[in-house]
Amino acid sequence: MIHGSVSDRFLKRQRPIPDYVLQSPSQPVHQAETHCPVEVRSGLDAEASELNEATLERDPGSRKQISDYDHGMREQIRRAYLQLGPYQPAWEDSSLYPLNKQSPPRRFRADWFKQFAWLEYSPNQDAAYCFYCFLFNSSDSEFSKAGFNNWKKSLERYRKHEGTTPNSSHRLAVAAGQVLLRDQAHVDTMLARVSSDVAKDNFRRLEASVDAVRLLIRQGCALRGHREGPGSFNKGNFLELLKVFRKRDADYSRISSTNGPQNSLMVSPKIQKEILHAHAELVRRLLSCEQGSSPFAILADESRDASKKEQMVIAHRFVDEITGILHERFFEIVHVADTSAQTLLQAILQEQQHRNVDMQRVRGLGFDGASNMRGEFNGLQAIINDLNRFAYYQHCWSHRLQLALVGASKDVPSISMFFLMISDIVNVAGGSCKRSDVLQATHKQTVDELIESGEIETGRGLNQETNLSRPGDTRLGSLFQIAFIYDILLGGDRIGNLLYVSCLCGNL
Amino acid sequence: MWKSVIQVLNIVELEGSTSDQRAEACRLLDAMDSFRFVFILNMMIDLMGITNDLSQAIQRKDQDILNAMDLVLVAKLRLQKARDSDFESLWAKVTAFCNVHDIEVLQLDDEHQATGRGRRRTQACTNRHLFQVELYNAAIDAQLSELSYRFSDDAVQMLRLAASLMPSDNFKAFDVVNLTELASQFYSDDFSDFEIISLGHQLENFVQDARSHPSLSGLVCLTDLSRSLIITGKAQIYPLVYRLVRLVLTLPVATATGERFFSAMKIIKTRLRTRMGADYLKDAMLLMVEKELADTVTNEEIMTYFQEMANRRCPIK
Repeated sequence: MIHGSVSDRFLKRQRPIPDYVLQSPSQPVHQAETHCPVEVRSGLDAEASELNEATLERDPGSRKQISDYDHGMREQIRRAYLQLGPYQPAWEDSSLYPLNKQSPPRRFRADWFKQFAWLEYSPNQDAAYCFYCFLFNSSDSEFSKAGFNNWKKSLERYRKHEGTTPNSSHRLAVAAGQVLLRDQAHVDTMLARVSSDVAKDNFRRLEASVDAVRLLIRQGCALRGHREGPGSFNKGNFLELLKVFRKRDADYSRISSTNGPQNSLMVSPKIQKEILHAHAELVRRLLSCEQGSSPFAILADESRDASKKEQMVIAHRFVDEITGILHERFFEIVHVADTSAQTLLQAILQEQQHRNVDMQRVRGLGFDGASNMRGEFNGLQAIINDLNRFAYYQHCWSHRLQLALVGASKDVPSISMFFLMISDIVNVAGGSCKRSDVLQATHKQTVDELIESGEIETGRGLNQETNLSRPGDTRLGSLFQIAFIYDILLGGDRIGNLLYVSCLCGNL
Repeated sequence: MWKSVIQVLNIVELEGSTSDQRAEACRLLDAMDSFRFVFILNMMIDLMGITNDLSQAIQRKDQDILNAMDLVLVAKLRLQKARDSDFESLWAKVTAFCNVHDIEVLQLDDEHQATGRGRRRTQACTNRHLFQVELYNAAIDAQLSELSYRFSDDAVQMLRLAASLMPSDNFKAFDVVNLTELASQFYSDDFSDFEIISLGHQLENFVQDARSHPSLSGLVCLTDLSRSLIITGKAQIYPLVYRLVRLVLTLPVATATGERFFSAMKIIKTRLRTRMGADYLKDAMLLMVEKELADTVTNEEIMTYFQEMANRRCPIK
């Protein structure tokens, strides 16, 4: 009865380890491991201890060798075995161990377990094994793999296996086992402990870089310099700004530049760009939250940039549903190959789709008066109207107002002549640097005289140095009309010509 | 500036390196010395001054289309008023200017002495006729007719209907029939048939409510109306009215915003930075033009996002 239950308890074959444990660990676990070793390891521990009780084959004669496990699993398996301890199925009455077939017949003795803590016994093979040598692949393969059953020589052999020197293969294995169980000595724990300090430093370096990128981008400055190498005197705005940080902040100086770890300085050009991108993406999220599913109008305009590429700016005009405030927000700037309506349409559609904006919510279109935009049949507004008939087009009102006011008055010949004359005056009087200097000097002299005699007041923003601004400089060559519109209205100096005309006429 | 310009032209006339230059300066000095030139100069300043403020106002980011219609109307009225009554004061101003700068002053009612043409071939007329009718009035008339032509879509039905939504003068222009027509005809995608019927009721109730409500009755423009609807909580009571207000507000007025973005682009992408990539330009422009939003993002958020962007080997936490 006793025999039955005991052998049931010890000899029953355990459930095999499931495939997913034995096979190479799945990919996500691997990835996660590189991120935060500590967390994952504790997770594996939990899994391992679960696997100990139910699934690990304990019988030393029939269990799988450690070397047969996948590399990544071995440590986990060892820890699991160590937590369980040596397999020592002890009958109180040693007569229950089977006799061998030699004469005289001999058998395993349970009191050997007391004498040799590492000893294991396999009821399957009727053989003795060494627990630690199995785990750590000792050179004594009789105890680690094959099994020892020459009971006549047992005590002698056990002692021989233990070895006499502290560096014997067995003793080293025992030591390794003890170390493995001490969690705080584990190499992963050591690494993790170091990285919590390192993480703080990484954080501070990254934060400094974020601050620098934010400031420079906000002010429209370049991040990089022409030469950023060690011998350079001007390493570009970003690195120079960090230099200022180091000067102002001793703590930061201690962990950055040459004092910091060279593999995580957080200053590389790639990092700068990624910080910028991270910031921009967060703002884009805010923008799309703000817009939500509100009806919106698309405002678009094109212009050439410094590298002579045609750029189209798209803005959205919408009313924030929650606050009721009207916004005109930047949406995207796209490079377009040409300015045909079809190309512009494709560019707009692509951006809207990319950012997951529903084109069916468009309720307005605002373009300037160029024919590719406003054309009745093939203009951009007409094509979009085919897609969504609620997208009502409005020709820019301020363009229209100026066209009406400036353009019309020039229908009168004398006024038209007057404008030509003004243009000539600007060319002759302010054309060359020399004349421009004389002009400014005489003007300054006049102002000074008037100030002295008290005829005009001094004050902030008054009597600033002015010069005749040449209308042709602003836009479209010498077309004064257009230049006039743009000077007064859009871009350039807004009040340019108006100011200039009044300067010409004012009491100075 | 006038004196300085004259002085420089004088210098050019005397010391110009080629005879062409000297002749050009001489011609300009003659022109500047004439009463007609000064008159047109002053007239253009007056006329531009009238519309400069208006065009500035139209370019504001939060301008709505109904207000813009009003502003154009104001421009027309002011031009008309200038035509009717401002000529005399302009004449006085020009005379004063000429006296200061030693330019020969013309008398309004003298007969006009045409220069450079045979007198027999020109019709005799007074200075008043020439300056007031042929110059001043002609210029303003041209502007007025051009305004009517360019803004002829005041007459476009949609804007005419939408004008009923204007909250100024205690909702004087408010018209329920017009507004339901606007919704059913132009925004049928946003209002179902049933909603159009209830929109009618909501509009009736709303206008009664708003006219007696202290913070709604004094509103001037549509932007204020939309904000006040939220502040007073009326947007929840009259959701369909709020929807209609938002739709009309959405209609674009000016593309000045686009021009603003281009001026930001010119700062970012300069002559020295022409090799800039498209993504960089996009990100940098967004952050520069939407500073207000960009500043609400904290460093921690950026760093967390940054860490998650790629498989980073340097932990920061």
